[in-house]
Amino acid sequence: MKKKKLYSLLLIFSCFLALAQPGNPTFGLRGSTLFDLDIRPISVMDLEVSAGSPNLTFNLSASSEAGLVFNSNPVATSNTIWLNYSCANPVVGSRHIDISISAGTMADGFELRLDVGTASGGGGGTKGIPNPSTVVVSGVAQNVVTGIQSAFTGNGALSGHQLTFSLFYLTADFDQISHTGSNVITLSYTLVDD
Amino acid sequence: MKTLTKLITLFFLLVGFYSNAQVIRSQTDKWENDLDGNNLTTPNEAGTDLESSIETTSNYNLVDVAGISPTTGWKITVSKEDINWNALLLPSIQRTGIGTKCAPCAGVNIGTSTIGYTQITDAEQDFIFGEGNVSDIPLQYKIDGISLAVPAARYQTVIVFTLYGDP
Repeated sequence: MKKKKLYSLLLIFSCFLALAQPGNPTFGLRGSTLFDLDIRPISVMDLEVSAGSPNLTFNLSASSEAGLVFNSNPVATSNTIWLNYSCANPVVGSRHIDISISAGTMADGFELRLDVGTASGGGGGTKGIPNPSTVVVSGVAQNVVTGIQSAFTGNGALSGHQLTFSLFYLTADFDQISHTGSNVITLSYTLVDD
Repeated sequence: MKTLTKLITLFFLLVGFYSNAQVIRSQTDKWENDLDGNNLTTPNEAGTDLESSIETTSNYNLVDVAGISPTTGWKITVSKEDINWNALLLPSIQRTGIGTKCAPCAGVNIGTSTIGYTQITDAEQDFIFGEGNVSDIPLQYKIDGISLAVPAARYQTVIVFTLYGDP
């Protein structure tokens, strides 16, 4: 009796094994490959112009007419520089760009103002938001673009944020404008994790 | 009668054990990519995007189908199971060869097996058809849609091959 039961059980078991071959969805017959794609931190930024270098030269010439101011404000303007960047950071939520004078000082009686444009239509991702206010550049770092997430602006002039620099004299009192010769300052742009 | 029962049991045991030994084996279990500034379209050039596609060598992974009788047909489906994935990233796969079939087997049936890249989705898709044991079926992988528009993170998905008999 016991033997009979054993054979019956074995018969059921062996039938199950025989029927469990491929033919219907076959559980357990799986192989796999893991795709592991890690987008790591990327922080590259530069200044682009259509031609030449991103150095600006403002020449102020004396008025040819006695008694007149040499120029009305702004005495000089340039909007040839474009700010490009490619950013990715899986750790911090966003980044911003600071600007400051890192070498030299402004000539007495003058200030350099910066207006930053909205990122042009090229590129992709979450590009930064320009500071809506005019920034007077100084030795103190100031935000000019904020909220940069994973993004790229497009490469070259006409891509990214257009920078408009304007040179102003601060007073009509000319004895406050005492500079002669050339005055060189260096501006530094820094991409900072928030 | 007893002997007959014994014989039937033995038969089914043999058939069962023999036929239940089928296996599909993926020889390469991981495709790992770290993307950084060197992977921009112009390496480390500000303003540029990441290269939109990455691709393995043509035989990056080899798949074996074993334990199949020479005349038994089979198919492999492909699908993915996301761990952390972004819908903008499009993984795909293609078979780049037929591998090595057992001597009397038909092997990979080229006529009914997909040629060219197949985009891998969550749903199983028929991928390779064949007959009998085949080893070293070469596979190539690709991911499209890579961009800095995809938030930076570590993305993982498991590409699953499932073997079915008698398709």
